[in-house]
Amino acid sequence: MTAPTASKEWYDVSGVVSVQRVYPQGYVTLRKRRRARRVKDIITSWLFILPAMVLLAAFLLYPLLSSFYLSLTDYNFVYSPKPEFSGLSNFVKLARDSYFVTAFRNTLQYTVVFFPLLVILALLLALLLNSKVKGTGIFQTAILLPIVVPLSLAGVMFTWIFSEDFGILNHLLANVFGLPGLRRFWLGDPATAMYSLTAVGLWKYTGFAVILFLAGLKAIPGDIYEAAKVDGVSPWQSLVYVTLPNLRGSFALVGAWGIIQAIKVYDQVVVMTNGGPGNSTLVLYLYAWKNAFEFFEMGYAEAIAYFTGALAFVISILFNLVLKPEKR
Amino acid sequence: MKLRRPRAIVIQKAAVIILGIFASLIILSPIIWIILTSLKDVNEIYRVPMTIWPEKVVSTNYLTVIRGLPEFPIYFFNTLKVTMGTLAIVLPLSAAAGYALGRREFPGKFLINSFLFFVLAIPYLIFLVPIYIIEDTLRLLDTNLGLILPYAALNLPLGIFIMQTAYREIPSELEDAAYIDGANAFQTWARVLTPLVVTSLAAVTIFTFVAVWEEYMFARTLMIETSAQTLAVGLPTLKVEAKSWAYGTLSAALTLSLIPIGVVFIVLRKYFVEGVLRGSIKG
Repeated sequence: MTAPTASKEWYDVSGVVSVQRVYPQGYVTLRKRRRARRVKDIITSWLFILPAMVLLAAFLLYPLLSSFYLSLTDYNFVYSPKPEFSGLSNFVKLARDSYFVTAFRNTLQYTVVFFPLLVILALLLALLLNSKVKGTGIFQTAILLPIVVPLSLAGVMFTWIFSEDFGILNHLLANVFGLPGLRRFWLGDPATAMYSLTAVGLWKYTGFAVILFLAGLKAIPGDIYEAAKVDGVSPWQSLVYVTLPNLRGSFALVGAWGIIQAIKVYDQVVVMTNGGPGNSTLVLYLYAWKNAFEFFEMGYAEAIAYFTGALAFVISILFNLVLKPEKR
Repeated sequence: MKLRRPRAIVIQKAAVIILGIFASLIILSPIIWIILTSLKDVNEIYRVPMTIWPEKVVSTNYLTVIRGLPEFPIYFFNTLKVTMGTLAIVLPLSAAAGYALGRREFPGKFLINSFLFFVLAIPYLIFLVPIYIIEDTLRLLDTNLGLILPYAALNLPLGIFIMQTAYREIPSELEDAAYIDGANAFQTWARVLTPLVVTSLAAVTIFTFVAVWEEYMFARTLMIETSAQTLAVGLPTLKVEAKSWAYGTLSAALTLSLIPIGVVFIVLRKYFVEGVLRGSIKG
């Protein structure tokens, strides 16, 4: 297939068709040499990309195909000799599994609190960092620092902060703010456990969303603000009518990213409550993980994983449709 | 045009600085609290009424971590080895692949880019079960390599995208000049083009470093033995073992574990932010 393409290209580029008639031999060697060079070029390109592709094929492409097949099988890693094809039965089982329904509901509960707060807090902090005042670099470092704290270790830190007797949160509420009525066993009470986990997620992820908004803010051309100022627009109006509409792209990006972070909540849940008390913080990722590595139901675990992936995918697509940036 | 009075500007600046300090303090407060706890004597940590500032600053918790907690150096060096190993794979591979995808034409390019993009959107959890089965077969569980390989694969797609954009932006005159001087493709890539994309390599470094340092689910599943575990997995298990009484030691260990990544982040923060800025404006 390469040969005709190569020769056609040769015709098109040089346009010296007559050469072929006058010097047929020279044409042939030229074409051969050209084709050889093209083949060598392709081989060189593939040599550059091959090491990456081998790794990706072994640890992403194969697992992807394998996981899809597993989700359609009944496979207990300990007892089954090999995966047994069972069609969509795992997905049918999901609807009847009350733990799954609980996990789904808990994940949604986390998302509904996490997501709007993430967007609002990140936007406010980005506006703050975007102001042209010297020294915001220090604030930027401070606000972004939680990005590098592993979420599991943040979980340990917050377990200590939320602790009932020696936790600083209860101490501050009771003795500093004078609100002893608000003292709680934050992680031990089903009513507050999920909100406590949400707070940890917000602490960890807001910084990254701030950078995403900051990118959008920096991309707004300054002359729009100049023009608005000339028209006598107040700072508040320029925020509502100039800044926010120009951040559509960032909202779409933070939206898609934030939804994914919410739906894949896992690390701090394992460290702080491991799904408890009761099943009040059992989330989808944790339930899938428990199925795979506590009950060894690999097929069913993959079905939950695919459901979670599809959920994140659909919601982020919706976001992008609603907030699609206008084409320039 | 109405000029704003200087006084209004001063007030505005002051407001920004006060709000900035306030926001920074709130965000840093959990870390500050852990550091304060780590400097307190055990009796003071569990005393009612509690104190916020240490009455007497002690170093016993840090000494306990260094002398009496053999797990800590194990977790620390595992994390370091896995991070370095992953970087040693991700940096050259994403530079090579990024160059091929960004500057060369070859059949299969579109397919590869579509695959990379698709993979970026897939939750890690989906890969975990098959990777566990592969590593169980290949006896890679509980080895550093058993974390390095999946981490490298998971972090390559983003790295390749960043490097691809970086190589594409280089003007072609430089490359042509190198070829005229008789350099081959490999020499051109290594000597002429790559030195021009060092900032993007720095961005890939910081993204990968942070992602590996904080990864929890894979590390927890694939590394079961203490001897193979990383900080993100190991330190929380100390909490479980210690129940609630060893927060002095635990907070000292947490503080120590955050120092290396904190330093790397503060040094490379600019590239991290720029990497996100450039990527998201284009994306």
